[in-house]
Amino acid sequence: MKTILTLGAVLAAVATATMTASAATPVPFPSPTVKQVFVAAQTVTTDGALSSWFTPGSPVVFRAYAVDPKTHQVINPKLVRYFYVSIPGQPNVKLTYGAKAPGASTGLPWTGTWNVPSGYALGSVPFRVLIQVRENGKQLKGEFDQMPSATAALTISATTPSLLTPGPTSGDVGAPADQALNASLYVDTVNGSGPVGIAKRPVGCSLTNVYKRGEQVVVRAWGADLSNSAVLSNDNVDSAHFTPTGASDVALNYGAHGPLYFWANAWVIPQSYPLGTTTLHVVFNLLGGKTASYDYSINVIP
Amino acid sequence: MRKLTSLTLVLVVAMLATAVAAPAGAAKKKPKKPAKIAFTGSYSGQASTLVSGGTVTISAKGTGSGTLVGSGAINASGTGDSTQQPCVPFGGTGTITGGGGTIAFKANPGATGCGDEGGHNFTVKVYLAVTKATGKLARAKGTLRAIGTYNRDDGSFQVKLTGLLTK
Repeated sequence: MKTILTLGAVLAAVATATMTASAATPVPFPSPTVKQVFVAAQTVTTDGALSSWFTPGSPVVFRAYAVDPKTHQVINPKLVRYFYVSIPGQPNVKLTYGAKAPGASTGLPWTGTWNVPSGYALGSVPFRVLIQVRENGKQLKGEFDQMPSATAALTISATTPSLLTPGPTSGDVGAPADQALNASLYVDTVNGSGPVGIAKRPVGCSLTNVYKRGEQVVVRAWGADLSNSAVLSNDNVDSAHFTPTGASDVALNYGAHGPLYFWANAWVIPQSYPLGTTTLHVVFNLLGGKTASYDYSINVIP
Repeated sequence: MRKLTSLTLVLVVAMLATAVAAPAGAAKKKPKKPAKIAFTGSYSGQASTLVSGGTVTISAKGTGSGTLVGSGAINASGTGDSTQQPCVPFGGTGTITGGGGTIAFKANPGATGCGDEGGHNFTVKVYLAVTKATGKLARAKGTLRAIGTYNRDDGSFQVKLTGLLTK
């Protein structure tokens, strides 16, 4: 009898698993938890224009920041043992600290430049950014991987879509560097495929932080609750939004993008919107009342 | 005259006795402190979303279990505005039933189903106001937070419910 009950329980469990498997159990990007050092990185030109497309022979600037899971603060540069970019088939690109370096910003002050070899294989570059810090005798590691989007991932191409420049003058303001954070956040922007009154770009959903009026700014974000390492999702976030300076809040939605889930939404820049650098204030309201924010800059050009 | 004085005395004593006794009686009638019930539930099943014009008609049926209601079913229906994408706002009503009782609910404004680029996989987020509860949750009131996913390709959905109810 006991055997039958056990078998029945197993079959029921299998049936349940089968039934729920197709209901797209959310798989958060990059993983359900970020237990060690949080790392955020972007690829930009030397003037700070965000881009995912580069030609052989051109310089790719990697810029990054990291958050200490123990202190909940932006990593103290003195604690960093190493911070570099790993590129398949290439020497590591060491990141150095300095918000004034070409391509760097206040929010992403660690930079390193990779000059793409002229004979480098064309196609996407699955780079990783790796960090190790030493704190109170303990070593902590962290890793950044690109978000799952073919057109927003670093790609080397003989012909790249014309790049809008220059990048925002102030760069990303980023997460507050002098206070304990409730969550570590990654934010970037891509060009949306639904501009209004202006032509679509040749390649949609590619990284950019320079826009023309009428273009669609798509904000993408992910992060982790520093109190328990859980990646931000509908499970632990009450609401999220971004606010372009002088405009209304735009809700950030947690949803599927391919097989993985992250936060995103789009905003069309009005024709009357002021030109120049502007800030998108990104806010996550966690369940339980805590808030996390990140100031992200874009440049609006004629 | 003496009788009248005695009667007055008796009345005064009776009134005093009543006055002293009253607070004790009143204390017994103090309203009960509302009980708080942390509700959690998990359900999965099949849903249909039929689009006609800009309106999507939603119907969902599933099974699972919830605090105090026990194992049972969830049934819900409603409508959404499919002209809004990627997040479709929707409203509707439904019930959770089980051996321990039932919960009837109504979706609060702000409910959304957010689809991916192809409109295949949706994340669902809605706050459900409890409109009526019976059985072990009789007279319970409050709001349940429901989050889940819906796969439009095969109709499957799963939803987790959490919230603090009072009764």
